[in-house]
Amino acid sequence: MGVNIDIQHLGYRVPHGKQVLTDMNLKIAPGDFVAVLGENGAGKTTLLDLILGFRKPSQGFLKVENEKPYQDNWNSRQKIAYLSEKVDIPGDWSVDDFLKFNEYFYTHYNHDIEAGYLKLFRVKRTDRLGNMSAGEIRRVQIVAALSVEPNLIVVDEITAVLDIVGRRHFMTLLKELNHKTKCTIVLATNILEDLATNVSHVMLLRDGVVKNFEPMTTFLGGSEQAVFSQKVADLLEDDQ
Amino acid sequence: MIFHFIKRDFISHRLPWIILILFTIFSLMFFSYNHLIYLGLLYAYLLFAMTPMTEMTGAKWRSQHVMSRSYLLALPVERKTLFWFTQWRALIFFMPLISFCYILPTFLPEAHRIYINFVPQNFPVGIYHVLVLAMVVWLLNCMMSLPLGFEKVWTYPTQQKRLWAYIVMIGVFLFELFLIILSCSETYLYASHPFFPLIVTSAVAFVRFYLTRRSWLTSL
Repeated sequence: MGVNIDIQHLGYRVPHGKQVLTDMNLKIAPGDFVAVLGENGAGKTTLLDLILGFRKPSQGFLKVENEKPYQDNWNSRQKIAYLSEKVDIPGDWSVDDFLKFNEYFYTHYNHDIEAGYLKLFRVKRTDRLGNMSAGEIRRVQIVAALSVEPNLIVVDEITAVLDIVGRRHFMTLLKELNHKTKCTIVLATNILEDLATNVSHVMLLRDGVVKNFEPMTTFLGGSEQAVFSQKVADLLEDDQ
Repeated sequence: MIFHFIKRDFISHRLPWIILILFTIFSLMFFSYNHLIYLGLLYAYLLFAMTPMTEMTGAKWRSQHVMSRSYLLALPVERKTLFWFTQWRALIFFMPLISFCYILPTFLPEAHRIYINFVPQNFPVGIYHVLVLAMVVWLLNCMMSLPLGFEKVWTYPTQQKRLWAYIVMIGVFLFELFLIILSCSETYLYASHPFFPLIVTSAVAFVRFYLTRRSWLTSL
């Protein structure tokens, strides 16, 4: 079962720096699959950092399952899968080294699921991470993160480095998990391909302000994928 | 859980450990008559202790093939506990240096040739040992907090703010170093109580530890 995310008057200012997020108000219900879209610097990663509790809000609050993540409710991270382009793993480790290191921290780690994902993403346990491409390393992370049977999946722009097949597998897998386990998914991305058919809600961020947050069906209004990409671009551009 | 990290550290750094052990054996077998080799060993142990620090704190920005801090902080481990783990893990890499400092005065009476203006024999045994440990705690935390501080300063918007922050950071570090050297120096020691260096160094180490902990907990 997924988690709810409650955001009220949320603002974030970088210490000694600029205001990144301003007065965000929204609720993400359990089982929602939200795509967070916006230009570079719009605040997508900062929002995900706040969900993970890496940063403390400057104004308002953000609650995940009625807990404030920055207060370090570490045990609830047992059921959070975090996939980010910022996550790197030592190059001298093998895939097996990393998977074993990672699984130690999770009490509900499922080895059968891990074996299935290793096969799906064609990852070999014996491969050395230092010899893998960025996309292959992301596949390893996907296997490790999703094997914990998460109830919240936070994805920060990793689809860009996945190849076409990898991206399709990943998006299909997210959709399946979302349907089967009703887990909540928050996916920040700049790749719009496959989104229209997979996600349940769209959040458009512009200069740290939520410009749109609505169900995909309402957002599309019956149009197709090609129109979706065009509409996102138009909405993000119309203030410029 | 800490042993899970320590085990991983040993596996990842077994080559540097082996090289250090071989270097020590080789140096003591063939050059033990020359006091300069002890200076060489001292620097080798110091360098060895400093090398893995980035891996332990985790890299803040994309740094392919070094463990990233985002990954460490996203683990289901209390972040305060993770900070303590990092301290203990780093301390293990300081063990050769600590052991060396403990053993040296016993079999090399002229150890003050190595420690500039610092004579271990002048300290009662217990005080000397605790003092070495306090210095290591200070150094370890400097190595952890200075890069964390620089990371923060790089995000400041104006050059003036960045410059002032650098000056303050480096100034505080140099002031702490000055206090420790002054309190341990021979001249000053003779004029004061033997506990004085221990009190000053421990106080400085504690302040540095506190600052490091605060930087670590707000490091992203």
